[in-house]
Amino acid sequence: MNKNMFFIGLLTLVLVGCATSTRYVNYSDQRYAPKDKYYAVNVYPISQPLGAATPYYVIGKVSVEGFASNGVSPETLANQAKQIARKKGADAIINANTEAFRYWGGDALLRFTGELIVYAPSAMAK
Amino acid sequence: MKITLKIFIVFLFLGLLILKPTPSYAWHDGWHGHGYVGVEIGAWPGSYYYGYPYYPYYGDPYYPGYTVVSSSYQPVLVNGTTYYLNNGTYYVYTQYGYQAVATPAGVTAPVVIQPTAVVAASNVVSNAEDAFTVNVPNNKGGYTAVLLKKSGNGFIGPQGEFYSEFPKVSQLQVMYGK
Repeated sequence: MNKNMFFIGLLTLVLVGCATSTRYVNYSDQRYAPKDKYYAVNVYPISQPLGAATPYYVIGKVSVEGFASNGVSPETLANQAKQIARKKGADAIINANTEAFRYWGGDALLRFTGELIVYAPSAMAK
Repeated sequence: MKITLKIFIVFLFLGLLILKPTPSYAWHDGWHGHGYVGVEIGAWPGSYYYGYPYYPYYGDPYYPGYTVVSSSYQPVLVNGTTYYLNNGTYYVYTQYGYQAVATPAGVTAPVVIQPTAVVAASNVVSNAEDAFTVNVPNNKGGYTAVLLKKSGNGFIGPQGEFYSEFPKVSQLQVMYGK
């Protein structure tokens, strides 16, 4: 009985504890092998365009958001975006931007957006 | 059993008190993360949206089964080739996605085809229940009739391309203005 109560309570808290929401949109039908969890995904802000000097393909767009009152910070959003990038096989994130939307009551919604890229040689190798 | 139920209800209530709403999200290809469908639930006087429209938060909508062409990539016609301009970088669309390319020769400043022109009433010559014909000015000085069919919340063009909203003349000119 006690185990059941503990499990039910834990399950409820876990369901509530999903502090961030994420979204990913593919730009093409091409898929890439996931990167390992230690792969360092570089994040280039929107103010730092990568340019065409390094050939790359933009494969999709990612968005992660969460409320500051839930302990979400720009760093946690960026880290989660990096995780998604690894799962999608991306090499880096470009056009990264974090916005904050203030809410009545003092809370703020933080939203990270960015685009996933793969460098051209690795894209062609697939 | 009654005690279990009571404790569950207490946990559920506590959970709802701290639940923060976020919009519903859908994953494009089945990868699941922390996304969930949220609703405006919060203990008064807790979370309130105000001041700005929350939907749509994104320029690129979600379409099951479609590969979305991002609206942040503005089509640019240079010497008969369609490039896409985003954040000052030129791209061409390939099977791998948007490929970054050098600024096309002869382009000194980005000439973006701005989606500012609104479809004038005179451009729409016929309006069947689910089909619209739009006269698009072409580079021969005439007009090209473009048939758009309504599909769900958007429209499908003659070449099968999908528009999330009724396309502007400038958008149609990219494909049908030659």
